[in-house]
Amino acid sequence: MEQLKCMRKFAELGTGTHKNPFLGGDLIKYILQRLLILPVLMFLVTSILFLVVLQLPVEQRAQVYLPSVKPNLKPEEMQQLIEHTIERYGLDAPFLVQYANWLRNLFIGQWGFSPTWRQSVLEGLRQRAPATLELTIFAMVPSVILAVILGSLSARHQNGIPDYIVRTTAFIGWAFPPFILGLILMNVFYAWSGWFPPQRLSIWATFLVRSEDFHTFTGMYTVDALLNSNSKLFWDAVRHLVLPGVTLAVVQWALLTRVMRSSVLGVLKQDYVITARAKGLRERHVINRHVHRNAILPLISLTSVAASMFITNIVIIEVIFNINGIGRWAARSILQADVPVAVGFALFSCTLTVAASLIADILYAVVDPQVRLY
Amino acid sequence: MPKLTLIKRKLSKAELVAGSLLVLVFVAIAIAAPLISPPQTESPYQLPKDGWSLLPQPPGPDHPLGTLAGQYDVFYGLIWGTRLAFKIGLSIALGRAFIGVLLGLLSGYYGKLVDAVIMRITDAFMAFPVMAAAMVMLTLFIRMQGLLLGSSERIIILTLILFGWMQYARLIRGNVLAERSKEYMQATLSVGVPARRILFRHLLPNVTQGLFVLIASDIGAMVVLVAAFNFIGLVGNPGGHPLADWGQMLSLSRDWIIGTPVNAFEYWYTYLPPSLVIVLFSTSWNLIGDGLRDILDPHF
Repeated sequence: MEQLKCMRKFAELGTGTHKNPFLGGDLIKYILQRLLILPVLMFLVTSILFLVVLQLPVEQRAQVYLPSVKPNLKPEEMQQLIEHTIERYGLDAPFLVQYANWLRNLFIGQWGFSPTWRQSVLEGLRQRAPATLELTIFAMVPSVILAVILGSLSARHQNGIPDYIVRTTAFIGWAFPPFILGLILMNVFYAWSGWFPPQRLSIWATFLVRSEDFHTFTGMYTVDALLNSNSKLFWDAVRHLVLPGVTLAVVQWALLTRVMRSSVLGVLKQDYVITARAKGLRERHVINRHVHRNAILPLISLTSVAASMFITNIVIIEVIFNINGIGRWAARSILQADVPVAVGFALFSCTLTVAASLIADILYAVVDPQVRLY
Repeated sequence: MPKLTLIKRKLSKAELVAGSLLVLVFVAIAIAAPLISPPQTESPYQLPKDGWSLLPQPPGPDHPLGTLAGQYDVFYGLIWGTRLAFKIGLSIALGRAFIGVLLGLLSGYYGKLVDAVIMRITDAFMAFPVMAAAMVMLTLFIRMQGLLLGSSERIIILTLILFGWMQYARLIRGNVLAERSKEYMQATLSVGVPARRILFRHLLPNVTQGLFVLIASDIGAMVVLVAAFNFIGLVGNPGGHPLADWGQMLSLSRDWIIGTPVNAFEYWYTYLPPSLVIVLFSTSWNLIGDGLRDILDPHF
């Protein structure tokens, strides 16, 4: 039955009922279907989180809602305040009521107040997002592009010289965990040669950025420096980005390259590639249209794994290189047992992975029209 | 074509052999730890302290690989750390495999609603990055027990199991689905074998394809991840006394990676040996995982 349905749909595709096979009505339907799953997924993720948080005793959870730390409060007054908070926010209510309250708070942007940083969690996230975003773009864009190019190159010259070079590099990159790679890079390129320092800017540049005549547009120093047309500052920012960027890029690159290589190898052996060659298509067309288009699919389905790995790595790298981004902010809050920040960070990163996997699913359907049929 | 696959076979075998040999060396070290470096205190998993100087000491007759800040012996830590690494890696990988296999079996065998529910839960856990989960769990445990990051390695292990079984469940579910349509399954069903017996006697032995690849690569990866948690200071040492754990040794040497202004590599013995051992350990498991995958995968 299922097969019959598929065949009929295939036949429809063939008869030209769909004008554009890549962006036809099927795709929009598919995207809508995926979007419908999204709330279910987010609901489940938040329930997991809430179930974990609920294990805290009610007094502890009440402290999360206190607007600020009041150190010179007497114990009785503190007790009263906590009881008041429990009552006000319904922290002793039944589970479902509490859960609904919590979700509503999340929606209206009440993510709690961090006692460690004395600011709201959302404000903390917003303040540190540019640093993390800058590092991510700087590392991920070249890493993904290079992974696709080199992985494919390596597969097409299987057991040739390019293959050995790429495979060895990828193996080494995969073997060295980011914190050890970061440590070694810091040792050689900062301590020994002094070329690429940690942190985000040199001291003089920090003063410059905070001064009156510097306009902050995005919070990403490289972009802001260009917008302020200050090339000295731009190079300083880039110099500080190199080590963390390379560390982050290498790990992700190694994983993606290995997958891309074995995927291209698999596709090259398929009959349709032989057919394409037999038809006398130019090699460039065979590779770009027939091989790459199919070989990229496993890479896309790796997105959610890569996103989870990316979050681990960005925390580690920001801590090692002392970058004031979201990752280091979260890691330092954990040492203070800051519940709102921990929950806020978890929510933030879950949203990120869910969004990433949604985008990956849509991309998958764009590249591979078969997916839309189910 | 057949020649190529032959080369590939040989290569992957070489990978497998190299990885297994390395792991065997580590196993030997772990078993022979009391002989190689006899424990000097009552609890052998704590690093022995030889003096109070905060400056790391270079390798000498007493300490073959020098000491960390606080005079903790590096060599002793490497040897006994092997035992801890196996404990961490094996407990996490096997714990994950246990949960994953169980859920995968149930989901694949019963299908329909059970399958749908289990798979949605799996998706939700997949969307939960391990780092975020670890942070939430650590904060909660510190809050609840008032401990200052002491003995939190156990919490990390628990978290990594609870938030890491999804790949196993998906793999086993897929295998069960493929197996369910086979004749022997029809036969067991038709003679009325009870579900529990079908699940564990008939299905379980037949759905383990790929399971050991996952376990092997997870063991190495988890040791690295726990070491990373140690390194950035999320996991601490109970009572301020560091364990003979590679990650904790690295976190002790964190302040010394810059060296001195004269010589950047002055304190190499504090961070290089633990790093190398961690890399070797994870590489050996990666080699085993890759080798197994290549041999078992019929595509290449």
